[in-house]
Amino acid sequence: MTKQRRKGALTRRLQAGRSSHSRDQRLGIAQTVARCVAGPDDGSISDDTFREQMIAFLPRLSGFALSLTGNADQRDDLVQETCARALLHKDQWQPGTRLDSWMFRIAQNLWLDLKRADKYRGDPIDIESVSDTINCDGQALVENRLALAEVLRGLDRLAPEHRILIGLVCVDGMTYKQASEVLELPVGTVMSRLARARLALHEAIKGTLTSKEMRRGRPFR
Amino acid sequence: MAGLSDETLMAYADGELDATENAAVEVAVQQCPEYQLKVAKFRATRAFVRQAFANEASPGRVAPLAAKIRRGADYIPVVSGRGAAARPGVTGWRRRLPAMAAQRSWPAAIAAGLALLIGGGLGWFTRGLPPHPPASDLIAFQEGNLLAQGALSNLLENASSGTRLQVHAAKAPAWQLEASFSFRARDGTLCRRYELTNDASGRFAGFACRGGAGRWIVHAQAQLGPKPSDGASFVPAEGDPDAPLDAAIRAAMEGDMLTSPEEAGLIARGWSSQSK
Repeated sequence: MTKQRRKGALTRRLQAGRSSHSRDQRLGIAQTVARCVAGPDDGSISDDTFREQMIAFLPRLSGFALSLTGNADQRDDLVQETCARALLHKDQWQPGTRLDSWMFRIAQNLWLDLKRADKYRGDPIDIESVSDTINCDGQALVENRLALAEVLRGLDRLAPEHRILIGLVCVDGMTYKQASEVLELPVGTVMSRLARARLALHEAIKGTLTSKEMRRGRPFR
Repeated sequence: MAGLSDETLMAYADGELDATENAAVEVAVQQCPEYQLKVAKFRATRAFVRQAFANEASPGRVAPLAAKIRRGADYIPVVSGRGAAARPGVTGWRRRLPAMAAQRSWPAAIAAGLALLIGGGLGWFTRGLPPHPPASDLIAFQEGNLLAQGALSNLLENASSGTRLQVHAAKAPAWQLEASFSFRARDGTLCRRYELTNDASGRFAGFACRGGAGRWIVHAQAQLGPKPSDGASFVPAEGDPDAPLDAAIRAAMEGDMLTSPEEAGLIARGWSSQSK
């Protein structure tokens, strides 16, 4: 089997919807999808329902937005503007399709627009502001903040299209197929970009990865 | 199995292969240290990123925005027309928030919002106080504190978030009162955001925390801009009147906004917290 043919077969299987999520994750996603597609028989949903679905999705949108902007205040801007856009263009969303994919697409388009307009360039990463989550375990909190700052620094070195894929797959946990739907790209393109993005990110943060983390990642002892 | 691509190794690391392909790749990986290293890189990077972002998807972080979405799109600065890039100022209004949000003391955060009315013994400015006469029936200055009165006190004490009620007064426009959401403050007290609207005086929002004897002490209140009639209209970014109050609430809030069941339980128990 040639490399090309193997890749084609793989892509077809992935397009058929293979999932990398655990059973619980799949259950959670199924519930989210069920919530997203729930609505009256005529296919429309009420304004209140739409808003509640948006609200349920906000934490995920917030994580994705941070992975793009690398900065807490710009994350808030992006989340807020994404919601404003979604509400403004609510009639363009098709009930029955994934609201999360639609909103992720809005967010990444907004971010790319703003990045092209040079609005998101060169802002320093503020470790204090990237995470103000209350955590009983002080040491874990510090380690988490440092890890997050390191990842954000690494993401800053990536091309925008690579950064978006890290946000969708590594931060949000989407499958390649789901990411391809958000970006409206073939799964094969998503995979090749993502592989390059992850190897580049690994190169950027490898100094932070402890041997334990590498062992955890290593399939064989 | 020679010549495995990075994409295939990544899909193997992510568990995105089916059983047959997975088994074939696994054999190849077992025999090749180079593949093993690459698979380890893919796995470690994803695991590290997920772990680093684990605390970022917190509902509490987005609580103020969630409340805005619940009560209407017209509270959100909306970008319309050619896109955000065409409006240089549109992302600017929040830039002042992180500094305020990072302040851990209430007085510092609240003082940063110039349009805020400040209560709780810190001194106060009438700028944020609804000037119309019936307002004195809703908030009064007593013993060094601004206290919710009458209908506002009843609303905060007894109504679930999202509840609206109108207070009519003779020869004056009615006040519309709304409870927005509830939260626990860093000092352990229970607090609620509320809004007051009156055709003559305008819109106000603030938050009050429950003190002893069922008193709701107003800690901050700000006058908001006029409510746009069209949800799609653009609210000037730099002048978003909600921002200082949002910052004050963020600085005050401990953890997440209370859920509806939590709030309902507290209302039923007269705001007595079981855990305290």
